[in-house]
Amino acid sequence: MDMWTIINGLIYLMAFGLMAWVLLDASRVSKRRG
Amino acid sequence: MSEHNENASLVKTLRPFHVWALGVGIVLVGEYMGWNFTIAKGGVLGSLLAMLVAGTMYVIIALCASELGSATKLAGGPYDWARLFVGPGAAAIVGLAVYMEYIALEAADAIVVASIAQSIFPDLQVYPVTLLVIALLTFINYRGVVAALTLNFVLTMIAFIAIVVFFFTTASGGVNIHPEYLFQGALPNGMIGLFAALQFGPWFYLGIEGAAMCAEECKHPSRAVPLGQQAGMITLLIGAAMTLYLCSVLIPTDILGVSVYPLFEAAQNSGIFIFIAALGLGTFLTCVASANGCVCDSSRSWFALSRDNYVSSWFSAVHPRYNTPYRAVIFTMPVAIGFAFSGFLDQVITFSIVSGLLCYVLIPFSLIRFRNLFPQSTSKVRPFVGPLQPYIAYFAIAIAITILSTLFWGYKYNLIFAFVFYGIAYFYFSHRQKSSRTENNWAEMGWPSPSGSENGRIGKEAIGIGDD
Repeated sequence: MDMWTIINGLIYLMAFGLMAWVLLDASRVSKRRG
Repeated sequence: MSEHNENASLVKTLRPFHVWALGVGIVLVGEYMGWNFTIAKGGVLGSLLAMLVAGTMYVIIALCASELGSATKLAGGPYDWARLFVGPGAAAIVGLAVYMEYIALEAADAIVVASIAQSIFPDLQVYPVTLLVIALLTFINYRGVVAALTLNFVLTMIAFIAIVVFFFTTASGGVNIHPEYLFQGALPNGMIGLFAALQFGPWFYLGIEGAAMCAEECKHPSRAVPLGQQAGMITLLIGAAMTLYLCSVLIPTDILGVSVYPLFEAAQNSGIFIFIAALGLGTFLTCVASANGCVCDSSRSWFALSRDNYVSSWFSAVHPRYNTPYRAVIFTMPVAIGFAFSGFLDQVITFSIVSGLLCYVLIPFSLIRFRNLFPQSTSKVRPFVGPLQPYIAYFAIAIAITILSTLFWGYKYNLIFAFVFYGIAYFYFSHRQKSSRTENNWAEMGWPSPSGSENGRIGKEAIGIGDD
């Protein structure tokens, strides 16, 4: 596996990580509001 | 109203410079790229005419927006004006058009940012970077509007200063220019080219009306929105004139007409490293700032539609900690990703332009209706009175329709699709709102009753005034 494949993979990981954080926080807030 | 609406209140923290940053931040990318297609159609003269005609339309729309904004003092900008003075169907069209305009622009900006990154690092893939840009900007906007717009202010200032410094260095003889380029490609396609070039004129200013979309989060909306918007319009007029001059005297017109990054290319032709670096960075930063502003505007538009029950009221919830319309912000993400990964960048941008032009017909129309409903010129109804109104509002509508018609050259299917889409939306939302029983709340705004029996009907349709 070359360096750029790893970098592209890491960028995907960061993007999905940010999406996951936003979605988890939103679902936590929604649950608290009932 | 639903339970979500009762809790909906956004925090009031924004100042005029945030409004300026939001408006100019979205638009400045159009001066770094896109406007130069006017050159391909109509040469330098066609581009100049398109810049002036579109500029006139936007100045009038900014005047209409200032008068309507200072009078209503309500959030939602063009959407609220259409809701109050035209009717629910028109309001839904404006809200939806603003949403589509900005979400399509966000997708296009994200693709361009990824393409720039790939041109620097060829092994970098476009899709992950596009996805990261959309996710990152959604994250920033989710966390708070002040941080998002302060970021926009910094990015926009850097990009604008780069144009100004480049212009004054060139004008003072610091860069070797080619005035002969101005004459060689002045009018390559004759008079018809002048007309065809108009369709790309809005690139210089497209999206400035979005500055009003953050009104509900301003400390003093009746001052901040007109001030920020007018300052933004002046900035863009200056930037457009400088950009046209710089590119026309540094790039041959046949190359300029098809250039992807014209200002960056002009800097490359100057041969001065500091300008190449500054304009390259400016191109990148304006794309990020534009996408950032688009997330902010499109989410506020969807939030406003949701709060008034045009779409599900589930989207109108406000985050208890960040005071942002968090569900509306999150909803921008899948739609923008869908547009970005569709693979039709030019179609996406054209849909954005058609949506914008539809708003430019309805904003002056709202002002005409407002003046018919409330003819008083000195009362508290109208703290700011624009010059030569409503005649210039009619003129702006004529210009917007003319520019819309020029899209028939090259984009007729997009135009037909957009009309069908918004036509269906108009009838759907009009039908949906007929079931809502609403009351006339002009008195709660401290306004007299509107004149005329027909106007009374509109007053009853104007839902939600003072509900917040």
